[in-house]
Amino acid sequence: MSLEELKKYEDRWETSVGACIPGERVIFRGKDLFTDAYDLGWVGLLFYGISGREFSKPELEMLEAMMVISGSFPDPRIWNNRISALAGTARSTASLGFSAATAVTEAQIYGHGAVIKAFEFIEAGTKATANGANLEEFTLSWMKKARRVPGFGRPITDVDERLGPLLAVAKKLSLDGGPHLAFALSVESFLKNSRYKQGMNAAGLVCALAADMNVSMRDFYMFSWLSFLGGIFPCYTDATEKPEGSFFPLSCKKINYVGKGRRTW
Amino acid sequence: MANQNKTVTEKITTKIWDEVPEEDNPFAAKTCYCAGYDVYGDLLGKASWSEYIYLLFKLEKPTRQQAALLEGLAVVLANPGLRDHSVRAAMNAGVGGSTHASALMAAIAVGAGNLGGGRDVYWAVQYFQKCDRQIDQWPSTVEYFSSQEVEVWPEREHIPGFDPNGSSCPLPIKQSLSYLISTYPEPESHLQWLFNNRAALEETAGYPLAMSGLAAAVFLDLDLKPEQAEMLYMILRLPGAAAHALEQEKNGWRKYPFFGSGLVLTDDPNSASR
Repeated sequence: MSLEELKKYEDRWETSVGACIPGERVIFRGKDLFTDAYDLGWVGLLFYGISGREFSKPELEMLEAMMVISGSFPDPRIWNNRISALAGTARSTASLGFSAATAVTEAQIYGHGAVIKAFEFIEAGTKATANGANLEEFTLSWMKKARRVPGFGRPITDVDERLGPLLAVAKKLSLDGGPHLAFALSVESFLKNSRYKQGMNAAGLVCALAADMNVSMRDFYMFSWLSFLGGIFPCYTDATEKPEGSFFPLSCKKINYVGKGRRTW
Repeated sequence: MANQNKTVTEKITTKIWDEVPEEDNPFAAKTCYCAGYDVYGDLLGKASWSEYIYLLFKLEKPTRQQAALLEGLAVVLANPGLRDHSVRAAMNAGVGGSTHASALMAAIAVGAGNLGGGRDVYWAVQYFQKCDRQIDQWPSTVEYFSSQEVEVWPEREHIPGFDPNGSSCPLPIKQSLSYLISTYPEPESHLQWLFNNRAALEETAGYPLAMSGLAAAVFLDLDLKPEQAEMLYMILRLPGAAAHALEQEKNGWRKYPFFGSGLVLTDDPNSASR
């Protein structure tokens, strides 16, 4: 940006997002927060805030189901949840623990790093196969490029227990007929029967369902930021209710040192 | 992830840290070793802060020149100044009476970004590494990185290590560059290359060198990997964020800009009442 352009921004921020008029009202993307925007509901308001888009009731129910089913595991061993539990056991504040845990959820092997890659693959694959590309060749090209297909396979176990419940909700809401889901299911069928033996994971499924609702990759990435909070909250409270420092304490013998031998400075 | 009845002794594998427990408590360390050095029984009092930091990242003692270079960079970066995005983030925590930890987290979160932040350094190190001090390779290096993978980070909008909103290279950066070269007078260093070719690099980038670019060259001369450089850069910039946050906490929000008349709402549904 040129110096002249930069100067125009000093003390001036033009926006359509909203503003607070103290003592009077709040405008939220062109709506009055306390009247018009209130009717959007919590999940609806979040998405309206991200993109300005208003979803239908079935779509909102699907998005909320994704949050409930895909990341709300109150298991303090899972890495992001563990930070929340550590914050509790170390007697830090809930807000600090939750903020750190959600920041960490932007991971590569799970969470938002995995979600955004899965979205990219499913969106690109759906488009490519609609234009005549071969699904198997397309999938294998990604496997070759990234050594895995985003949205498929899973660390620890290849079975993803979330698929059935998510698909059941999508079916109930008649949101299971889109091209992205069809592509994802075809890729799963191919990979399961290939030497890779990989099934779809929840990231792959939620991305396909979201793409079929015309949600963009970046919008869904922002929305999914919340999806682990269901598990993060109770891991903190659980740890604060127990003696301080009691969450999986590490004794010195838990260190497996493989570095340089003893030496003097 | 099912519950397991048997207890398995899982350990953390590390080349950095070892501990010997106290006789009366396996959860308390009697002796701590960093890369083989007894931290509290030997290293403490002998190693400077920058030497110890170097050891943590590199697992070896730095040379005198490397230690001086890191020491110099630590001073250069310690306070980005209160107009910097990361420091502003910390001050916003301060004026609102937020937790002090949140001020540091805010500084790191904002100071992590592509615009002069940790990610800028991460990429600048890779650009310079790829270029390998060959100025004729700079245009092709810039071209090489123009294709970007989808990731959680926003797409890069400028050449890392350079300031897209700059006019000319600010004096503090030029002064820092000259000083750091004096602490590390290696003719083949990345710093020297940056000093010799700054004008040509800036011409290709289209804008002037930023502090993140200078830091990237230093980190390369310290033989740090991009991810190490990214982290250390964020750490080294925190002292100023902390000090400014505390100062503004004391001053209070009334003395801190709110941009009261700066917001221009373009779609107020009831603009007549404003």
